Amino acid sequence: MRRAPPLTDASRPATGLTIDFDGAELPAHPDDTVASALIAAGELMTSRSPKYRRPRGAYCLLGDCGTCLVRVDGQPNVRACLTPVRPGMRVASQNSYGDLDPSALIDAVFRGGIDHHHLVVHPRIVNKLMQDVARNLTGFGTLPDAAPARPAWREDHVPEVLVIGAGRSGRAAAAVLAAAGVDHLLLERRDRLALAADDPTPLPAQLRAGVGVFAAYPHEGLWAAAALDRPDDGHGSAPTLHLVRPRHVILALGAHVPTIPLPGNDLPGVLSARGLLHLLARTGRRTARPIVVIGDGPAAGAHAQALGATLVAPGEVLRIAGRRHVKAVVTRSGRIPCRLVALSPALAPASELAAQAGAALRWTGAGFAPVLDAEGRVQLRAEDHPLAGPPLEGRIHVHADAGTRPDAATGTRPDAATDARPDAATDTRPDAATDTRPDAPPPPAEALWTLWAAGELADLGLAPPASGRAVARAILRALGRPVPEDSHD
Amino acid sequence: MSERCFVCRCEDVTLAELDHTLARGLTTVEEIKRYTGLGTGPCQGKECVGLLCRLLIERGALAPADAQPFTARPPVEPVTFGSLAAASTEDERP
Amino acid sequence: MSPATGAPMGSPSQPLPPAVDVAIVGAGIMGLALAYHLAGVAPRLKIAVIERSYLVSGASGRNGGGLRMQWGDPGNVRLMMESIAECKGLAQELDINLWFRQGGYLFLARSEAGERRLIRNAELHAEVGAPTRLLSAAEAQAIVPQLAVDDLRLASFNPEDGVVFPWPFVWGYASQAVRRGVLLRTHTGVSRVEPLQDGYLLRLSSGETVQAQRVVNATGAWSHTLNRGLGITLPNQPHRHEILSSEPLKPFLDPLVVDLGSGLYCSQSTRGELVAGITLPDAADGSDTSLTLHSSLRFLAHISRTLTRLMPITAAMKVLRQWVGPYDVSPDGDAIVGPSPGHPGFIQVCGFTGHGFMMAPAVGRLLARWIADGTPHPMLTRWDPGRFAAGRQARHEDMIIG
Repeated sequence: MRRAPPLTDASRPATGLTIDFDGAELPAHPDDTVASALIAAGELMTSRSPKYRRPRGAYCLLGDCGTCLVRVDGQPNVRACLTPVRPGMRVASQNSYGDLDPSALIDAVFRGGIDHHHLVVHPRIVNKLMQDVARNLTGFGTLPDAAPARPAWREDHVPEVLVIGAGRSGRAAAAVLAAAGVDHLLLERRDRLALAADDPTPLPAQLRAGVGVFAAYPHEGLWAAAALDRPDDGHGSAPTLHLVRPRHVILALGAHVPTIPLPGNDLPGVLSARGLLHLLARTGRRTARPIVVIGDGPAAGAHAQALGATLVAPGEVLRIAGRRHVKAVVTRSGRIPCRLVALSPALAPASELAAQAGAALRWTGAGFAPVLDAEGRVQLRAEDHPLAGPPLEGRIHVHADAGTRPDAATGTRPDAATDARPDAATDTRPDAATDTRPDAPPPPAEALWTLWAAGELADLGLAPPASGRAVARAILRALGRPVPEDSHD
Repeated sequence: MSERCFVCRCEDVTLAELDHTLARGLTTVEEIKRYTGLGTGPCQGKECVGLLCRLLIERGALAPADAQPFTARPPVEPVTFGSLAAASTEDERP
Repeated sequence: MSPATGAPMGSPSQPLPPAVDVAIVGAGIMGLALAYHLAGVAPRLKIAVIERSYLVSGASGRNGGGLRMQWGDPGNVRLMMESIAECKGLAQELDINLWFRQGGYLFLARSEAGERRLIRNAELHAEVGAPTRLLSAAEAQAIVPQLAVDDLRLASFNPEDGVVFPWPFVWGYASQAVRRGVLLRTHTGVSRVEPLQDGYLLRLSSGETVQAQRVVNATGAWSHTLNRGLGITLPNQPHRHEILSSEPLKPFLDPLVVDLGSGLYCSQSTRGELVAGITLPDAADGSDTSLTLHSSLRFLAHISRTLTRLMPITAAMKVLRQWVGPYDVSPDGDAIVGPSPGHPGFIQVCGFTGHGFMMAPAVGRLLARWIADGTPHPMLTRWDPGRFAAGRQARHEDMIIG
């Protein structure tokens, strides 16, 4: 359903590029993502939610929140916020019902909430009927139109340093490594346009954009990444799997934007301020007033100013109002009509990969961050005895036989002779060598890699670029390389 | 549309449902995740696990020093079966 | 002693008396189904269930939720026919949605050996009265259009087999057991079990002790360790198994598909996610026979290769999450149930080798009766823990998957 567009791009000429959304032709620009094109056209709703069938749309605009999923060229569940537009792209909403609004019926029947465990359990015949209906209402997209035209590629990498994330801290770290001639790989899930919007300076040569690291597998000694799956564009691009066996890993993953628990916080048109600002920088658009920023995070004031928005503290908000999309913010002092609401809460560091790799985590007040030493090295969790303490999740041991270190045949590292291993000093694993239980795991050998964190994921009291540079310099020290002066400090 | 306050938007878990779950004696992150479905959707907790802990701390059900997220599992980015098949080196058994 | 208020499914602070009649260690599906039935047939017994972590933290919360009667051993077939029949009305009995759906299991044979197994099974099932029928490749493809069937020799299908959502299964038994007066204490481990003149003393991780006339070891993959403390040596061992779920899609797959040769299983849950696992050769580091729960790329790669060959459209589908759960593996593939050698008051109910979940409804009922009135059931006595020492290993059940 169309409404007055909440974004303007008065200064840009039309390019004639169009995409199809649910059968309607929408104008777009070459630097748009699917999400920005939809929002610019006033199409804020991309799906209906699983239980309450409420209208949903993009929120974080940074690839994390999972509610901007649309069908793109026959592929279900594609993140609209990370997918660049292509001419003639066919985009479809998912789990939606056209102009029908089932949420009203559901709200009437389930005023309090739905506890799906106790929903219509009796009598048996009705229960079975309910289950059949639920099965058909559930699920998100439908089957893909076709299997990929070409089989996937696999690329293996054995860099000295893997930098995950090419935001401000990741790029700063990579720059220091590049200047020192250290072999490194920089992986970033967003595309080159997104990076250019962050920072217009030339992109580093070691960067692979559009590649998302999806896992750390310490027992197998590798990190795995996938080129973001794009529908076959007819040019024979094949999805690629990247397997990386690094000596050092810098996690420069940034942070997630949590939601703020307010009534109506799920309405289409409620976006993260951070994501909205990035979208505007990428596409050169501006917001059409009025916009409201709700937040009490450290950046809320700056966000409001940058967006030309009214700032409201979450404690002042009674609810975010609207039916299919945001219409107004109702506060204690009155009602503020608006086109968009941008949330600016305290951020949650993106610590999932760190946790997978064995990091000990600490609570930050809004999320979790890896525990670090003063130089940015990540501390690992201690082993748990299988019979005591919390459940088995969290046991980790990094050991050498699960993966091979590169030898002369598969790859060389220029300075192997001066390789310093600082791990022993910071190793927090208990000594399992004296464990003589017959079913004890093998004692952990030395770590395969050293894990570091930079930027918003770390908390070294430094701005992200300085944080990235500091960690890179610490790695140079660990590698026994000369450490340059930091001209920025 | 009624006023609902969402803690987990992927799985439609509201503040009211969270309090209902706490009232049933399920007070840990792992239990709440399983009972409500919070964190089991496309975002796998990225948007909501931090908020859940904050709400539990506010309600006195969790001490900040004890706060931990649920187990981080691969994949944190979407990856297809087709892509993963490229990593296989094992022979299939007949 | 009444359960802690506001804790219909047990609690970490559930008060425990100094002595009970039966202490069940482990609140997985087996322990809870047993507790529920035992409290039903013997309401005067004081029963406590002690669980070291949260409910559904063990194998009961990590499995794919499949229920099948397509087994190779007639006893197992009959047991599962009972279990599945019980599941039909179980949601109403336990007052919780179980999302039990009988979409059938479709077994695929792509080798001659597999084909022979399916034919043998179909004959056996017909004798026992299970409605399994053999299908051609074309017929199998009619049920699952996404299947690639060029190398498919034979398939078997039983429409009564099905899937459930594992968690409410456990919660249902837990809440109804509690309602029947069972004391359910969670987040408390049993550090030691010591024999007394008459019964046992359990030392808990909380520092408390509880005396019990009889103790049931329902700890599954952890049973080995609990047994060792009492000097009971039984040959079951934990084994790590991996599993994954895909992005949720609208329903397209009705049965649970099993590829005999590879041990791959794949079903679509009520939420729309494909849930799948596969048999993996053991890792070189020996971690598979310990209780480690880390996920691996090796698993993802292997299952992806097999799955995309079996159902090519899956190559375009995305993995949502992978996790791990323990099988409690018995060397002859049959469970270990009954009084322990040398400790008749210490009762085993483990070694279910990855199919305990589906058998729990029937086993819980049968074992409860045995414990309550002392009459063993032939379906359970064949799983006698003493068989190993006596050299009487059971027939190896060969329809084990995942």
